Amino acid sequence: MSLKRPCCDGARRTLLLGAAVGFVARPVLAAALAQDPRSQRPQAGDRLVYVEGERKGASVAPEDLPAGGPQVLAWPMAPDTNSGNGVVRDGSRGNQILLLRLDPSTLDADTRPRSADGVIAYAALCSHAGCIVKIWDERDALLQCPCHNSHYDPRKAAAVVSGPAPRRLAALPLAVRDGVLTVAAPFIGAVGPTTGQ
Amino acid sequence: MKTAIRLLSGCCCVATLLAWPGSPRAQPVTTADLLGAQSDNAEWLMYGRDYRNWRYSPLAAITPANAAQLRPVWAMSTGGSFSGLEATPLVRGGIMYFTADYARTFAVDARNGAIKWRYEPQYEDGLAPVLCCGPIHRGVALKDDLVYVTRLDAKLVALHAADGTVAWEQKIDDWKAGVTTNSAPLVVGDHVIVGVSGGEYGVRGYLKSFEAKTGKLQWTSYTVPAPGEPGSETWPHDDSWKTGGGPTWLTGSYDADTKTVYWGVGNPGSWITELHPGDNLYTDCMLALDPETGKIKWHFQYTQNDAWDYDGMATPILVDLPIDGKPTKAAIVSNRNGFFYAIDRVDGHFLYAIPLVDGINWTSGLDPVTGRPTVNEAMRPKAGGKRVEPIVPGLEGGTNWFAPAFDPESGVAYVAVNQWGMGLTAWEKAKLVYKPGEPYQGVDYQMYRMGDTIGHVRAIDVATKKVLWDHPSPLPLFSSLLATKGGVLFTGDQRGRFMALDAKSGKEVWSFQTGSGINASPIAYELDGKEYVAILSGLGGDPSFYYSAPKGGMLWVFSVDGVLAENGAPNQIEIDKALPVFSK
Repeated sequence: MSLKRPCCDGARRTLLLGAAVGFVARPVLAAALAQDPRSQRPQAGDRLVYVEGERKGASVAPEDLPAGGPQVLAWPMAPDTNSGNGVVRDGSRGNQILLLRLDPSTLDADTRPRSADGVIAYAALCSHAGCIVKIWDERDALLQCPCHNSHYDPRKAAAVVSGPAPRRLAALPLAVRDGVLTVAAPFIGAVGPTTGQ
Repeated sequence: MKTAIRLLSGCCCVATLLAWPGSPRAQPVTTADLLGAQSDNAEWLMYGRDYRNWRYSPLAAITPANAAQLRPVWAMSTGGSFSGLEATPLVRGGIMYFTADYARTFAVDARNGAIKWRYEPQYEDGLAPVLCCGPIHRGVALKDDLVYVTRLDAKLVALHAADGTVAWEQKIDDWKAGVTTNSAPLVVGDHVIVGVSGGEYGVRGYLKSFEAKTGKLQWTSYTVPAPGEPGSETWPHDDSWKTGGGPTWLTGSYDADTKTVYWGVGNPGSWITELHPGDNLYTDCMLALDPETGKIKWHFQYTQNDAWDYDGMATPILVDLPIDGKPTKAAIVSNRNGFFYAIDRVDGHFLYAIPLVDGINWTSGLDPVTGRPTVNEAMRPKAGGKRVEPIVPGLEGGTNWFAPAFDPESGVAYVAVNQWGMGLTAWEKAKLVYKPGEPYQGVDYQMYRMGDTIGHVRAIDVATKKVLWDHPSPLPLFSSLLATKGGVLFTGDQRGRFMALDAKSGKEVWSFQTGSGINASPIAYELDGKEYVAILSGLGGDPSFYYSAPKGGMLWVFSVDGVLAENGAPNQIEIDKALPVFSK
């Protein structure tokens, strides 16, 4: 179809234009589906809400978290300007976040700027086999994965201390807005294992 | 009866070679073929070569004198994500059938590796976290014109051997609850018997039997009894049986004379043994079962109330030889708990056990009559208590899933063992909460080397109970043994070396660097009168948790004075599809 050719009668032009739109629409639709807000990774401005427990779905504030650990699991939640509560991004396991409140002076130079009121956040998905890093090693103050015992140091950008995990946990910079924790910037680093299914 | 079968099998093999000199075609496998598998010198029809799991090849062309001339004949990559290879390939009608990681199934021409077909299972998200030990897979089973594959997501699929298309698929269980499958089924008559994994996830273990042609479920036989069932008196009166463990994650054996299936059972769910006091039958047991009904005929328990992950899943090897001067029908097992057992396979009574490794300290010894261990309770961590270390063997075992080989002419069993220990801390009971699909162990652990070498191949004279020789390896050994009539023993190591040892002395007579750690099982087969040995090479599974090394995914085949053959573009079909020759 030549764009230069003067067009034809009205019906054919509509058909041609419709075909053009149809041709373009499928990839756009595919992209739209991929951007389903439930599956989108955490975005700046998202709040953080409890994954489980009595306060499931409620926004997490810094003072809700026990100082010095253990970590608490949260989903990011998209802001909704109408009701104040938006879509919970629980459509992907990789969106689970662990929140931990520590003394800011113990955080290293990479980690402190990402913290808010001493709270730090990491992707909860272990970089080894994708289990949820839900154990707190109280003795050494380390994040611990129950599947194969990998340990991460939360003060040092979740660097791997021991175990088979190949890579640190993705970091999620935080801010505090209206008294509750919000996402300041998207994940830094890859979430979960990078190969396999 | 057996002689007749042997002659028939021999005739069938020759007829095949004459009739199809070119590309091999799938050949149906009958019940008679499976019963006579040991005498089918050229092929490898089931996981352990035959129902007794000897892994002994009657081929004798490769000897200690000429093994140094072993050369690669062909090699192929298994592709995928290189997450570890642990399979035993099968060979039937000139076609080799094997699985790579994720139960990706291959049928290749055993002459040159040309791929005849592949089956690539598609899995849902979230599978990796319920696989305790990586997405590894240990092989397929053959019967009639079907290839049986356990998918990692607890489904049994039957593929047409001719083209790899799915004949039927059966759900075994809900993988999201932590039940997964990755072992080669055992086919007995029309029963395709399958074991399950998931002991780390608090599943209740069982065996299931599916009808070979249709996949219809025939029976389920639980390894942990429900309240009131036999053995339930060895569990507390609570719900711990529901998360009792007892997985059946390796392949079993079969004695056709007595129509008895033998199968190993893993450890109890939760390593905090205070949560389930008692002997916990039938965890850590050898079971003798009726293949028609799944009914348990008898059991022998290696380790009661196991706190150390000493799974008793090892495949029993069935041997007939004199023990203590008496002709005996035995089942020999090399166990995670550090002992090599001989059990009478007629009624399950204890014959003897010898230590496979030094320094075993979880027990002060086994009762000489019953084989029951006297536990050193100081080696049992208390819930919420201090770390206990070193415990020998460590949780990875004095030996593990990789199979020994047995030479029936010398009566010698060849076992790969590992000398290592562990530290173990049991959690406070309240910290361990059961959630389907999540780990349910309740311990922190650390494996330790106990010296400079870890792995050892050892030769055990089963009748005299003597260790004949020891061949050490610097890293843990995680590969099965293959014994051959030619007197050469084959296995692989974590450095990637595929090795041939002189079976009489244990001395290495050849090795080949395959490029990645070997965690799979070697086989021998014959084509056109020539003996070949094959091995999958690809680090993964448990060894990959303890050190990082290059991953890999290759199948290597060798013969004496072998010449690396040109494959003739085995992927021509795919090239033609994606890159057709241009023509106007």
